[in-house]
Amino acid sequence: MNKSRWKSIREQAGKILARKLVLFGLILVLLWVLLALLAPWIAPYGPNEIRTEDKLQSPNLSHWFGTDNFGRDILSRILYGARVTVWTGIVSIGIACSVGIPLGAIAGFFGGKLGNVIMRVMDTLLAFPSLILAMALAASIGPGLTGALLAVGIVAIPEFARLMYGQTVVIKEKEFIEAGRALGVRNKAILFKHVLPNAFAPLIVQITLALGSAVLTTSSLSFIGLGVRPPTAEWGAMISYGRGYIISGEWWMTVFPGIAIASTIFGFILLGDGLRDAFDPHGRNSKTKFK
Amino acid sequence: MKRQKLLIVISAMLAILLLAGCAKSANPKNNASPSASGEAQPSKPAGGDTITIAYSQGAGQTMDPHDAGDFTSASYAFALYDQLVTSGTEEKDGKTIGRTDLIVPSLAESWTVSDDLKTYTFKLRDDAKFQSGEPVNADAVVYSFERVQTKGEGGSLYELSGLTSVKKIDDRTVEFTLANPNHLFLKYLATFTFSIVDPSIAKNNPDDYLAQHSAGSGAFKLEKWDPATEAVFVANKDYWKGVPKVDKVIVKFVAEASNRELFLGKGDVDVALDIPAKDVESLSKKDNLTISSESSNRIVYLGMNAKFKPFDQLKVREAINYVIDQQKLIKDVAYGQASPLKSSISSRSPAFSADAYPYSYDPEKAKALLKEAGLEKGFTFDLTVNSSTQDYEDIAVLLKAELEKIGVTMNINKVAPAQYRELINNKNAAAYLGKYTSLVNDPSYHYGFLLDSKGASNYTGYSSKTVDDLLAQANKEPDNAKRTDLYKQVQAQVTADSPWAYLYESNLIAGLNKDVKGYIFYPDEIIRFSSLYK
Repeated sequence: MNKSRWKSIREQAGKILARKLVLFGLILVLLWVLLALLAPWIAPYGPNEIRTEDKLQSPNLSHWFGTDNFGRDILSRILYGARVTVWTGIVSIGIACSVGIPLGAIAGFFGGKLGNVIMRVMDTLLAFPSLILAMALAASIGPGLTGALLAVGIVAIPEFARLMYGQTVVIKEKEFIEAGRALGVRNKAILFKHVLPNAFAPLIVQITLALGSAVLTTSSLSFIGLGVRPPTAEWGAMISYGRGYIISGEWWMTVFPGIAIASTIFGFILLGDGLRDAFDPHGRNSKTKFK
Repeated sequence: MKRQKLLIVISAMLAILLLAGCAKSANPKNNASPSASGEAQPSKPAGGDTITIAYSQGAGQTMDPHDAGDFTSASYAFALYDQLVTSGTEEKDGKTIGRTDLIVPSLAESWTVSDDLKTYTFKLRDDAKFQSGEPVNADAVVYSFERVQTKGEGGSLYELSGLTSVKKIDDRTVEFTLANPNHLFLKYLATFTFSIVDPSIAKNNPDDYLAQHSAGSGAFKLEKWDPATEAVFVANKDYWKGVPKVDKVIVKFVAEASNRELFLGKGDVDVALDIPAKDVESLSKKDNLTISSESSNRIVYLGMNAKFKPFDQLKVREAINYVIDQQKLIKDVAYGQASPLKSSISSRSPAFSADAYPYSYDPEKAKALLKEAGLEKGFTFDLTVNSSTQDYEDIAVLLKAELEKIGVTMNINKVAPAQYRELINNKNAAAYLGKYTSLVNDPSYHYGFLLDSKGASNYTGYSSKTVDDLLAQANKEPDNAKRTDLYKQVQAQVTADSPWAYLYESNLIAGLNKDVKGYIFYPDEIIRFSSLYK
């Protein structure tokens, strides 16, 4: 059975990657992860290395992406910034999953008053525009990366809770769960061994898409000064910093970090969309085919 | 495969957008457009008899001169009201420059001072009229000084001035009595706080009426005010000093510095305040602009609170002073639009002296001092920085790099203005970047706020008996030379105790369209509308 499962996963993966755009998205995402991991070895300069004699250079051979007003190398700062981005993505979505998924599963599986209370709290959180909520949270936790991480994570909780709730409600009515119940399988085992694995596919899609929006929210928070502390290299903070220089012609201070943010999010969205199409045979794509 | 096509189209559009972005910024003069943020947008191009000014720090908190505390409201007070005396001007290098330390008559045409220096008798002009048509008489002066005491901002300056009574002698004569001689008294009277308001309006309306309306004798009347975006002033055609040369002055709040530059460049505004230092050089080259960059009373310093370890040790505070490279800061942060700060008071202030300043950029010496203080391995501290001005973050980033060289880790705690004020007002910042502009250009006022142990703006909690005693002594000293000597001792003592690390004195930079004339720079940062014309 294990072998055939592996085979089906490999087949699935093959199908997913056969779509060029998905492959492109995957490559973009992996590229940024790789660059982030290798930053200390491949970055030509330190991220906070100040050389004021080289300040505000336009892109050239020794500084591919130019330098900022302290003579810091933009390329190196973007590479180090990728570390912050990857880290915030993993931690914040980790927080969101580890809180949102259990809450959604409990609410969906047990239902009743408890489920109602949990889901109404989630609805309340969802009612806020996510960036406003993140701003309020980050401001009350205090400036710094920790605050931003928690804020981005908390904002993403309700999406996971809702998704898991919906999945659980559907799955728990299925016959194999009833069969399990009839055999006397405990609730805990049903939840972990049967409900969770069956909700896996939509969760993966959601995680991929949420990573994209986490990158955007973190950058936005940094842009308005609620994210990382200066002088930490972070994409949103770099854009915020460079915006005063657009008017005087130093476009490279904002454009390159902007491309970094855009390409990362683009990668996540392509990947997430591709995964959804692959996992969900009744999705939009197949429908259009049959029309 | 429709979706994939759509995605391709979207990505192509994204790429075009990016390219468009590059083109725009590379060619800012022609393409860049003002952002669509919530800031004020100039609604129409300024006409020949209208002057539009872009402000950086809000559109004002109040129109009440007795309650004004911010620079914007202060400039409104000067436009709407007159004071008994006012700041003079001098001609220097073909430019007219405001002198806040030079007092000239305004509503009072002359005055006499008693021999014990405690009684001032002012003779009022007989041609000065309020905008309502009422004469500016002794009753109005007495009423205004009564009213000042009831307001927060005005009340504290009233207390500082040492006034005990304001008495009407006859319709044109008022007598002021002080508890002690105060050599600054006339300078205090010239501040916007001691504006003379029209009792016929102020008395017959609710107490907060003046917060939104004008009742003065000044060159301008208030036409319209939205505290979030703009204020409009029209000329007072019956102004007793002569009709202003412009019909209308519009003040716009434009928070983003690059937007102020854009508006100025396109002629949407005639004057833009607080132009970033980095752009002075490029803007000065433009034919249609004049950039005024003048040294002011504004000092920028790093305050260290001795309540927090290890700043309780003098050697640590000295070490911080030795890693400050003022020339580098002036070059890389202020782009040359600043000058070194060698004392706790601006070099434009009376009694300034740099004699006691022992520091120079010397990291080795700093390291040695830290070793003597038992901190060979360095230490970590938080520097509180106000997010309102980019310069302060720049200073902090450079300082952080310097401090790393002596093994000290500095975390930059960049906070919003309100949070910053709360932190430093409660003396809860171990170290912070501060700036200060003394409205009254005199050490008595400056030190009274900043370094007297009871000073309202003494955010480091600096407390020195020697300094307090010297300041008290100087306040009572009528002789100018002796007082100067006392203030030199104060400066030497403060520098020796080093509660601050001095950074620089920053210039105040304003951009003007070439056709705007009559701009007079005053070192107290407050712009006066009445001299402007086109």
